[in-house]
Amino acid sequence: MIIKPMGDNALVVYLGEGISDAILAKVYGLYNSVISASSQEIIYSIPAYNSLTIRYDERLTNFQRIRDWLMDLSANDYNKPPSKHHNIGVDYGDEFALDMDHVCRLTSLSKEEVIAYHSEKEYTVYMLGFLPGFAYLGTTHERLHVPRHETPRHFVIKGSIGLAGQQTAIYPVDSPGGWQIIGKAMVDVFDTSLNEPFLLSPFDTVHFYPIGR
Amino acid sequence: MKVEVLKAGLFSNLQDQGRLGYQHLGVPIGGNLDTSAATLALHIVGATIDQPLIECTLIGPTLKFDDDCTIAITGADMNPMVNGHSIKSYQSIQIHTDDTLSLGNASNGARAYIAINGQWKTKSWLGSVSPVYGAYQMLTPDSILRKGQFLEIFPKVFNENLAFDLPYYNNRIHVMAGPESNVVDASLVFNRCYTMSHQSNRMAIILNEKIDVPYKISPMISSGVIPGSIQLTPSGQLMILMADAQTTGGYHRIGQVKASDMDKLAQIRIGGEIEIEFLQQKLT
Repeated sequence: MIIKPMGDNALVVYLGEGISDAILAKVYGLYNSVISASSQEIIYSIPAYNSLTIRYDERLTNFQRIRDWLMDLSANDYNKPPSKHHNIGVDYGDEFALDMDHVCRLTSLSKEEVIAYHSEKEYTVYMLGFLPGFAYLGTTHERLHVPRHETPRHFVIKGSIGLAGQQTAIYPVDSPGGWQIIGKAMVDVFDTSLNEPFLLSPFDTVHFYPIGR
Repeated sequence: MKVEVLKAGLFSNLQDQGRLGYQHLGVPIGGNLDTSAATLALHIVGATIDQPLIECTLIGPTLKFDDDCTIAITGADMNPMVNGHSIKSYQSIQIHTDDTLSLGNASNGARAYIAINGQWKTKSWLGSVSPVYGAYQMLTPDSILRKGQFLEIFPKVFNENLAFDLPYYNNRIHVMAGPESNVVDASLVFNRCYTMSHQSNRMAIILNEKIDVPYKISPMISSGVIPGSIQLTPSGQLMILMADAQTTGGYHRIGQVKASDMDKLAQIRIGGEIEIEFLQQKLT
């Protein structure tokens, strides 16, 4: 575990190098331990692939004290992160799959193969960011690794499913976006009418399946 | 009471203390950029610090009130007037039915705050009225003022007359090490003067002057960012993240603004100078 300061009110904890489910489990284990300690000194924390960023209240504590406290939390004591599994239907039809032809050209795959590769794997929610409820899901099959658009689209419709690098994601709201769009999810990942507005939480698993048209 | 927006100004928006504790779900914090000016305005009108108020940017709005209430204006000087007569900032002002409050161009600072005492009937989301970039129409539709809009507030008159001295703004910002400070020579990058780009907004202050990026700077795995984080893009651009920034990012975090200097950044204008001084940290 490496801990680095970020100014006078935050620090970053690294739980490994690279991206893997094992490192992610440690990140979310530590995150859950930090949350369940419900310390007034910690204002919020942000888990990501191999790190946990902790914003603390600089009026109540300091870097050394939070660092020492984190070092004392042994990895064995990390709370096992709770997680849910989601099966999400996807419409890969032309109406929504704005970049399907482009992705087929980039990957030398047919549309049917792109759909098959995208819907065969179980993905893990590595982190949320970019927009409220935007979940980075990984990792995609290596045949589906495509770059982002160099110039982002001004408008991507809510529910759109995109590919970028080794990842796939569902746009929670209408927004600008640079990912390659290959379909639309048949569920709302962000529903403000619900008490729990976000469908996906960190460390959840997701499986996509194509729906008939 | 209804407050009618006769003129919206340049970017007048409703703010409060934002949404703390939802950052693991990708929710930006939002909230007042100049926290000390905002909380002082609320204090003057006798409101609690969690109440909404109007954050005005460079050009303020014109508002018409249909009831009596107590207001206060703090932050940048936008030459506030009631019915065409100048009023003072940083003190309580009693507004009467049919009064019109107008704010003009900012002459000192960039952001002014208008506090109106009472209970706001504005739609909030996750406990805050702050507009979320890209999603505010759905979440908090009243949070960016537009001409013809009505703000509904159940007003409370507060009879204490409180007044404070006007602030003196300075543009000297202290920066401390970030997790990736080692990819540059931080003491060189940060001990100099920059100017603020017109592309700056509540998400980030973009600096005009680019820096030389080391030839081979290894990419990093996305990680958490907070307001005040200074990111370096591959083209050498520096971005100081502000309250509406996203919660994770893949650019190197080469510095972090000292927490107590964040309010100063809210008052710097487009083209304005930012004098950065690097604070070397010694860890014990």
